[in-house]
Amino acid sequence: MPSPTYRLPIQQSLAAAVAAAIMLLLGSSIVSAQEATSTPSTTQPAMGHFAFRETLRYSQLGTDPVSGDTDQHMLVAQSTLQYGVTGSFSLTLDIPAILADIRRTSSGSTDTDSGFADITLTAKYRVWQHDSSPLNTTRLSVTGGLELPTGDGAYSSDSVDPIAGLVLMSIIDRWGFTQAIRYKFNTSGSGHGTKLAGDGSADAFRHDTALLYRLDPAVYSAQTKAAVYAMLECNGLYETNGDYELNLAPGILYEATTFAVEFSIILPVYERINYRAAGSWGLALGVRFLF
Amino acid sequence: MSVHAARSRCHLALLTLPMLPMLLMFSAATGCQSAPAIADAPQTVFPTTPLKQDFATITATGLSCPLCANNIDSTLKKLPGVQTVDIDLNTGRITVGLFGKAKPSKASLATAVVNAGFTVLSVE
Repeated sequence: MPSPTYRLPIQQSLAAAVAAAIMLLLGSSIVSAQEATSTPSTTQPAMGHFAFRETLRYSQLGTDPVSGDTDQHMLVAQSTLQYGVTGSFSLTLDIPAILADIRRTSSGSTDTDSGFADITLTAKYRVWQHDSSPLNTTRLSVTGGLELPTGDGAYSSDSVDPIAGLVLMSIIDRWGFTQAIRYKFNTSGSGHGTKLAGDGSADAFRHDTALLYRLDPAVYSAQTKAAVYAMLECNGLYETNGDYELNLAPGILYEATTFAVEFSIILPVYERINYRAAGSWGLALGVRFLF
Repeated sequence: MSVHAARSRCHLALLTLPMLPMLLMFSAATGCQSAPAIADAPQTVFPTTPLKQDFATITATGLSCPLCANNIDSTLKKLPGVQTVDIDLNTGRITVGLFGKAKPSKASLATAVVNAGFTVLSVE
């Protein structure tokens, strides 16, 4: 059965998204750093400060097995606002907005969908920290949150879904390693075909691994105002209906003291997907500002 | 346990495999070395009397990167009497320029750095 189409006026949606982004930017203060594009880390804003991050993900998808739609191009703009409650406890709000071009097999026409996906509220608590030198640190955080059914139609799981996770990050000299795992319990499941990975009727287990290497500067000094990192991410998503995808994402991260820019290419290395459209490749661009 | 559930658990166990090569790369590259455990020094109780000098030097650990360290800059500059903050990531030395009559205490400087998420070794 074709999934229902949920269409909002594009201009109206984009205007709302831009307005929301500007408001968030003006209210933001500190950004989380040394964090790869798609792998959560243990970093957080200082107590009483906000962080804002905007990540754009473009992906080209194959045929949707539920709706039969083909040649799908999807752009997900994820706005993330984080607040440091204490030096080791933070709250995060994720708001994803979707813009998709979809070729309808049923009508032969190409339509454009837009709308918001489910927002997620997450709490992160750093349970262990060992700062072994001026630069080096190893930190362990636990995360817990809720994905709320605020999304539009095919971009929502239609249920309040608890999420639990664990993040380990270690920075040693020029190297950074992060391992994150998250499990989302789908409490009722989407009654229609979903277009987003992990939002179907099954539970979703994500495992994200990131390796960063500081290309420049080789050695920090008091004059250091920026750093460039090479990133390699391995992002996996397993759903209890049997779907599994594993992506590799090489990229680059530039961090200045007041902003950061990141870019990566998402390359599927393994896919066994039967309940939604599989991705063929993608791009991710992230920007973080400091005000 | 159903066959489907058993298969799901087996799949979950296998999912840990892709992360191993990257962990091995990290271990090999860093040599798994442990830097001098200066952060293991006992927690110091800092005086709460306002400072009188024009500069204070904080030594901190775990600064990790320019943006992470910017948390320190922001929290310290919120304190009354703090004018400038210079951070040397390589040495962990934070030089704080102080001004005015209401200068912060060593304790408030240390607390600001801890609230930014880092470990304080000393305030001089």
